[in-house]
Parts: sequence; structure tokens; C-alpha cells
Amino acid sequence: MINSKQVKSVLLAAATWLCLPNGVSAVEQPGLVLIENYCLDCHDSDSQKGEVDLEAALGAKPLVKNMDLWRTVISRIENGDMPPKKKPQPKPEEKERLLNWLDSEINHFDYSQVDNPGYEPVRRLTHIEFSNTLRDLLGLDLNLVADFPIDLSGTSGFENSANTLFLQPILMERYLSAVDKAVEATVPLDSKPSADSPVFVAWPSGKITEREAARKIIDRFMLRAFRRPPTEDEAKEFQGVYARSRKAGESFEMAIRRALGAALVSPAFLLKSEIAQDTDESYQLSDYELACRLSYYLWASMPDDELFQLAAEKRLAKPGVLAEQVTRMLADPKAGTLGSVFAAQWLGFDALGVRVRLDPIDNPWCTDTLMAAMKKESAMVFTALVRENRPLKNLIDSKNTFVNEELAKFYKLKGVEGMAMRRVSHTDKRRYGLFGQASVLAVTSSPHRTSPIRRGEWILNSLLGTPPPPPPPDVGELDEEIEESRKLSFRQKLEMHSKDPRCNSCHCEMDPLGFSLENYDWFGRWRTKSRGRTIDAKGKLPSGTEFEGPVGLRKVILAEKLDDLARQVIRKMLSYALGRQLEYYDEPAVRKILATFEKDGYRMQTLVHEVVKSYPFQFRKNRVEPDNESKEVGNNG
Amino acid sequence: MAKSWQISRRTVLRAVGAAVSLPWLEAMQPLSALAVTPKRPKLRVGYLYFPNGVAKGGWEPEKVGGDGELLKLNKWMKDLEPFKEDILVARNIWTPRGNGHGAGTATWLTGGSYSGSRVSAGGASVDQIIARQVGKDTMLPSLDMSMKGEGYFSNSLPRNTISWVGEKLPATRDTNPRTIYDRMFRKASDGVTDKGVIDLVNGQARSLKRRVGRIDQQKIDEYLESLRSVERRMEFAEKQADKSALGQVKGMEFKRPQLGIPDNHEDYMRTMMDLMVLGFWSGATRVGSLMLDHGQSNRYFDFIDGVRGTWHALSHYRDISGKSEDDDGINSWKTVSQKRDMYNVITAWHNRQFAYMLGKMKSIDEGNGTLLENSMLLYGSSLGDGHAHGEENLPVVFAGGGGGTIKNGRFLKYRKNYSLSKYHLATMQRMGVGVEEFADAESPMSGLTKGV
Repeated sequence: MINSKQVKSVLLAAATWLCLPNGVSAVEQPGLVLIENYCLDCHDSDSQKGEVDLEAALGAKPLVKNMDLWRTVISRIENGDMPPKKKPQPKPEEKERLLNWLDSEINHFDYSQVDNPGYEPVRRLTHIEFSNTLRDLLGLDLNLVADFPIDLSGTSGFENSANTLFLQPILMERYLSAVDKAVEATVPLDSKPSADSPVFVAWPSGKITEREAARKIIDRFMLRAFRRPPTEDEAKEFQGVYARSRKAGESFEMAIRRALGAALVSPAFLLKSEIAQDTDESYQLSDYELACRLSYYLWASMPDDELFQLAAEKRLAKPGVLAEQVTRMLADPKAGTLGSVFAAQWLGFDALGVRVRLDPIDNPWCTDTLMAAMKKESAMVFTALVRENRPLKNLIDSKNTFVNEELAKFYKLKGVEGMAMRRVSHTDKRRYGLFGQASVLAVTSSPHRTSPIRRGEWILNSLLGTPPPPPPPDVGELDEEIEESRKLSFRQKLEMHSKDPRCNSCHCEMDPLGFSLENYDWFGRWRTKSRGRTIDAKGKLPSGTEFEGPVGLRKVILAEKLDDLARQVIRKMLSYALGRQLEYYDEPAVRKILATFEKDGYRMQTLVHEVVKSYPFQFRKNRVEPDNESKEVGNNG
Repeated sequence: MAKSWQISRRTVLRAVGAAVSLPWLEAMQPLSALAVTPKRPKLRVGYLYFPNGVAKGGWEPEKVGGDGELLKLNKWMKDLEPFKEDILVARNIWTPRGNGHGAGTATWLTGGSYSGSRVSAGGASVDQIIARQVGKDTMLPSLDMSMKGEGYFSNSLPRNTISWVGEKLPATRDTNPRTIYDRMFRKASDGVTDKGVIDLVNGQARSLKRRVGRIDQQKIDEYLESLRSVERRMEFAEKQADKSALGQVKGMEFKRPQLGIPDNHEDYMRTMMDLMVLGFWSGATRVGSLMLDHGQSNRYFDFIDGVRGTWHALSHYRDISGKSEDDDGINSWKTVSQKRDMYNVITAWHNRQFAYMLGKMKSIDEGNGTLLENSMLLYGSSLGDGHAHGEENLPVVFAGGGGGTIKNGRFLKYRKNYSLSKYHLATMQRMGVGVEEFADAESPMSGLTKGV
């Protein structure tokens, strides 16, 4: 809880900001003065030494806007890395005052006055969404995205993040040729289309004219492709495509192809956009927009007829209806994308496959099909966790998993035959939960060798959302002297490196976590020795807890880190649901979800329901300018 | 010389099937016209990027004359020896804020600094700025190509991006030779999207633009821009006969590439280089870039005798333990010099491919100078010494005559850090972009025309 001193400090800070021009330091502010005296010589907007611009960051208020930067600043000052030894040093009491001030501004900021649901920017569909949407729209699974230029990922983590989704000419050309293939497959020229096609709600016959059938087909298609009813003008114009084609002497089928094709090239189909209302206040999404957010969150695809119907009746946003829909949608097979897209990108196992070089001579057992099964396993385990409404802790300790014959052999499980994945229970406790899954063990390794640091970093950063700060500026990853000594084991080298107190503050947490998984080799196979040495999987956390191996790791995570894990899964899921990075103003929503999630014993469907109920999911606020972000530290890798 | 050129022109026209006029093939003007107004073909610019830097000393010429003339290149660069008079080799070229495999790659052509959280490279890249200026009259404003990545970081944005349309807008890169060829020489699709449909969705996008937030308008603009480029290709296609057989230049038979990525890495790379040459020669574009690998390539070059381990691991040549974070766990080395040699062999292999491209460009006579003389190429990396991991003393070669504006055949021996932005500025000015400054450069690189 916040004490009165902190409240005062926040109020004082707020008061100071109100009367000061942007970016000017305040004489009345002890923290600001100290930063100005000891940091801005190098880190003002002109010098930006090490790409750190604290002057700009001080101007970006509240300071929690640049949470990561300030946390790094705190750790640098705490460890004595900054200011550098050669520069004037703050007196001990000044240092304490500065750290207290930053602590209150960053770690104890009062969010109760923050009221901003944020803004989901216009973006194109990801390739996965494009593919799924076409599948549901046409009732055909065509896989037309194979030759699209790959979706690149930035540091935000999810591919659906608007700031990494670009629509460049090369992609537009691919869209056009995909659309051609799509309409050709949907509308045959020489036969009646399939009766169960969702596209042909009508077909010319004795009872209905061509013109009338075309109108029905195109109107319905536009609603579903645009994920909202077309405007009157739009309807007229797209009907016009049909009419022009007929007038030019083309067949009914060809004219339908052209009209459907036009709808698929339309920005209303290719872009996911929400309409801005003319207000400075926050406002609720329309029912159609809400249907869209829901379907892309839970299905990575378009809404279905039931959602469209509820949106048309303006009933979707009613709490009871909405909850019922979420439950229904989670039961649908399409919700498998929560595992295959959301969890895969959160935990990084979607990257498996491109990481390991297939080599039939050196590692014949390592096949495309095995890697596909490994990814599927982790995806299906996560999806089942949600679908069966299990508690979050099961992600870490469940004995249930999914395998096919090849993967079963890999895990040395007996009695599984065939390519199909099926549910099995591990009897070997070491394989329980996420830490026993080959997919994550492999993606956190280099080809042919494990990396305890990478595994430790993965646990802290990806899984728990408590990343270690970047290494101090003048320290290499392992200094050369240690690196070149061939006598030591990797663990010994790392221990020497970590003796440096500045390295130790992070490594003392990261290393034991990673080393506890050393019995899993670079592909997740169990081993007891590495390079002739018996593996030592014991570790001790800064908290003093000692543990050993994956079983010990599970226990320690559940006993000491479950709340970090819960916070992280909320933040990740909310970010994925919104298609954007979270900002400081999302913190109240995160806290609210956390409260309910925790009260309910961290049941996974509660999480999904709470995300859907949340303020940022149902509301938005126009954004005038991009968020004021300062440069980050340590992005050099 | 003129004679062989005429032959090549006839060959081309025969291949096309009829003496159709090729409106954008300026180089193809009849000789008589050239005699009246001897005009140089327009300048082209190309950027060829390789990752992971080079070993210390790996870029230093073996012998340099008193006035800086390149007398002999070192053994790793020996394939460039026949082109000594067509290139400049430089020492102490540096990028001000681009460090490492990610940020360095992303800012190689922007001279800015990279922010991962904002996905920003600090500015548009030099190739895209030039493309905006000179690309209006070509089928493709620029040709942005990459070798398809392998291993870690294959989908990392900064490691796969050297071209930026805008500060926050990376140019999407093509990796597929067939698609690249088709974009230049085949008719745009005969599919359902015709001019009428384009007008319709264009209008729809404009109306949408009025109804979304201000921040979103740039996303709609992206859509509109892409649509415009498609439209432009259609217009070009209308003027264009079937030129699928066009790819014949003296010494270069070029057929429509196979579908998919060639298995052989050298074939693949040379095909991509051919495509850039073809794009330049045919006038389909005047701006090209090719990433020879992504910015932290872990590719194995064990198809070369005696090379073991991934490129990135080899680049950290001072650590021979085989146990560092960069290693693959199966390869280790006996001595630093053994490992460094393997690293150098990979550098030499890339130099050989670049020499192949220079040879192609030099063999094409445009009537007034060769294609190489009418081009400016930058070939190099965003890392200096791969082990030290710095952005100082970058390995770069400037090639091509810049339309007679560059005095080649020299070693530019800068005494201290000299910004690559100055080269970018010099290039932009030669391409007719009216700028006086670029990123940190307030004046263009003077060494292109005189000693340093």
C-alpha cells in the first residue's frame, strides 16, 4: 500500500509538473535536481550517451510512461554503475533521496486517477488471420499465404501488434493474386457451387432472378468480409462491379467473381479498423467492433453468424450475452489459436523449426514432423488448460499432455501409435508441465548445446515478465580472460563472471533457474552427463530457497513466483487481445483482472472473461499523438 | 565496342519477337540518336549488405601506391583484383549510432539510431529516399531483395531490414527469384482486379481515412500507396509486350527463374545478383538493394571445403573453445588463426560473388559507358571486426563510376572515423535528390573524387 510520504511525493510531483514547462527541471524537486546534476551532463537530449536521453524521459509524464528505462536507471544507480567512477558522485544521502524519489514515482505511482482505455490502431490482418478469415468467409481452406513475405517480429512479441504490420507493394501484389485464387476456387464457372458454401445464400432459379440472387450474395458477402454492414454507397458500388461485368457480356459467375474479388481487395477486408467517434472522451465500441475484437482474440479469425446476429440486434455488449458468447467461443475448435498463436508467440515455441538444421546424417531423428508435433503439444496443452478451465498452476505442473507416435517415442512413452495427437499422462514426474516440454527446451537452446543463461532469461523474462536489467554498459557478456580459459566448465566460468557484484545481481537469479534444467539437452532429451561431467542441477535463489532439477524448479516457481506468472499471463493476454503493446494507463485494468483472477484460484476461463470485460477491451479513446516514448537502453544486440 | 552493342540490341529485339518500342529502355536508343545528343544513361544505385563483419585486417589492401592507388588487394579479396580500377576500398568508415547485429543492420542505410520499442530506424534509408525521387518513371521505384534467412533471427525485424520507406516503415523484401523476375517482366495479373475495382477501393480507402483517428491515417496511406504501385504496374504492363524472353544481354542468358528458392547457395545468390543487374539494365528500376544474409546470419558455409561452424560463430574468431553462446556445440577449433581463416574464407566467398556481379555489370555496354560505369554500388557490412563487434572500420567497397564522377582505383585511408552517411549524401546528390545534409553528414564524401 502507499504510505503518506509517497502520496505527498506524488502530489508534490504532480504540482510541480503543473507549473513547469515541458522538460524543464524543477528546483523544488529534489529528485529532478539530482538527476540534472549527476546525469544530464551525458544523458541530455543533445548527448544521449549510450542512447539514453533522460532529459526527454523527464519530460514524459508521468514517469511510469517509461517504466523500463527508469527501472534500468534505478538498477544502475543502486549498483553504482552510474554515474561512472570518473564522474562526480552523489553523496550517500543524495543517492538515497534520489532512489526513494524514483521508487515512489515508478514503483508506487498512484494509478487511481488514470482513465484511458487506449486505442487499437488500424492494422492489416496478420498472415494467420488472413488465412483463417478467408477459410471462414469462403468455407474453403486454401492456404494461400505460403508465399507471402514473412511477418517480421519486433520487440513487442506478438505478430498482431500494429506497429510491425506493414502493407507494402510486394504484399499488396500477393494479396491480389491470392484473391484471384480464392474467387476462382469459390465460384466455379461451369458448375453450381457447393450447397454448403457460406457464400451462396441464393442462386438464380425459376424463383429468383440473376439480378436478385447477385444482390443477396454480394450484400451478405460484404457484411461478412467487412465484418460490419456495408454502407448504402458501398453496397451500390460493389453491386456496380457485378452490373458492369454483366453489361460487358461476362457470365453471371464471372461477374460474381469480380464483385467478391473487389470486396476482398477492399481496405474494409484487408485492414482491421475501428471508426473514431468525434469526442475527446473515451467511448464504447460498436457491437460489430466488439464482435471483431472477440473473434480475432479467441479465434484469430472473423466473427461467425451468431456474433453478427447479436451485433445486428445490438445485444452483444450486454454482460450476460457477452459471457455466454465467450464460453461458447472457447468451446469451438477455432479457439485452438489461443495455444497455437497466443501461447506459441508468448512462450516463443512458434519459432521452433527454423532454429535447428535438419540433417539426416548427424541427427536423423530430428525431423520436420517431430518439430511440428512438439509445437502442437505445447499449443494443445495450453488450449486444453483454457478450454477445461484449469488453474494457471497446471501450466507448470500438469501431468497431462498430448503426443503422437513420433513424439511419444522421443519421450520414451509406450503404446502410442499413428500421426494423430492424443492425450496421455506422464508417469515420469520430471516431464510434468511446461518445463518438461521439448518445444520450449529446444527453442531456449543453441543448436547442439544448451544455454542455461538463455533458459534462465526465458523463465524470468518471457514466462514471468520480470526481466533482468541489461548488463552494465562496460561489462561484456563474459570477459575475455574467463572466456578464453579452457580449463573451466561453463558453469565455473559463469560463476567467476557472476562474482563481479554488478553481474551477480542478475545472474544470481537467472543462472540457478537455467541450470536446474541442465538435465535436458538442447533438444529436450534427458541426460545425466554433459561432456563427461555429471550434471549438477542444484541451485539457490536470492531468496535462499535451494532446489534441484525440473521437479525442484516447478515447486519453487509455484511457491514463490505464481503471482509473477499470473501478472505476466494477464499482461500478455491483454496485449494480444488488444493487438498493441500495453502502456502505463493499462495498469488499472491489469490490476482489476488480477484481483478477480486471484480470487478465483487463477482459473484460466476467468482470465479470458475478465480480459473481455476489461475497460481497454470494450472502450477506446482517440489518440492525438503517438505515446511519448523515449529511447530504450541496451537494444544493441 | 559499339558493334557488339548493336548485336546485343538485335538479339534482344529478336528475342522479344518484334521490334516493339521499349519506352523505358533509354539505353536502347539508336546510335544515330546518341551521336546527335551523346547523353549518358541515367545513374543507378545498388546496396549489397553482408552481416557479421570481417576479421581484423581482412579488408586492408596488400599494396597501395604513393597516391593511394590500389596496387594489390589482399588474398581474401583477390577475386576483386580484376576490378581494382572500378572500385574504392576504404579504411575507418563508421556508422554513428548503429551498433550490433540488429540496430547496426537496421540503420546501415539510415545513419540514425534504432529503437526496438518504437520500431524506428531514425529516418528513411538512402535507397528509399532516392527511389522516391527517381522512381516515378520506372516500373518499380526500387528493387528490395534479400537472400532467404536461415536459423536464429530469421524473422527478427531489425536484422532483416536495411531499407526504410519512412522512419517507422520498413520496406518489405522479396526473397523469391521468380516473383522478383515476374514483377519486372510479366504482365500484372489478368485477375479480377481491374482499373475499375482499383478506383472503387481507392475511393473506399479515402473515405475510411476520414473516419479513423489521425494516427491511423498513415496506415490507410500505406494501403493507398501499395494500391498505387499496383496500378502503376498495370499501366506499365499495358504498354508492354510480353518480355518474358527479354533477359538476354551480352554474356548473360537469363530465363525466368524456377519456382522456389534454389538449393545451391551460390546459384541462389548469383540469380539474385543477376536480377538486380537485369533490373538496372532494362530500366525496370534504378535503385536496388540485396541483403546477402540477415544481420546475424548463423548460416553454415560447410559447402566450402575446410569451413566448419556457423558464420556468426566464426566471426567471434578469438574464442576457439566452441562453447560460447554463439557456438553450435559440435564445432571447435585448434587455434585462433585456424578459426580466423575459416571466417576469412567466408568473406572471400562473398567477395567472389560480388566480383561476379561487377563482371556482369562491366560486360554490359550501354553505348556511353558500361552499366558499371553508370552505377554506384555500396558493398559491405555494418560490423567492423566481427569479434570486437564494433561499428568502427567497417568493411566497405564503393564500386562503379557514378557516371564518370568518381575517381576509382584507390584506397581511401581515413585516419579516424569517417561517417558512412557522407557517402550516402554523395550518392543522393548524384542521383538528383536536392539535399545538403543527411543524418549526421553535413557534407558529402569528398574522397570519391580526390585523395583523403
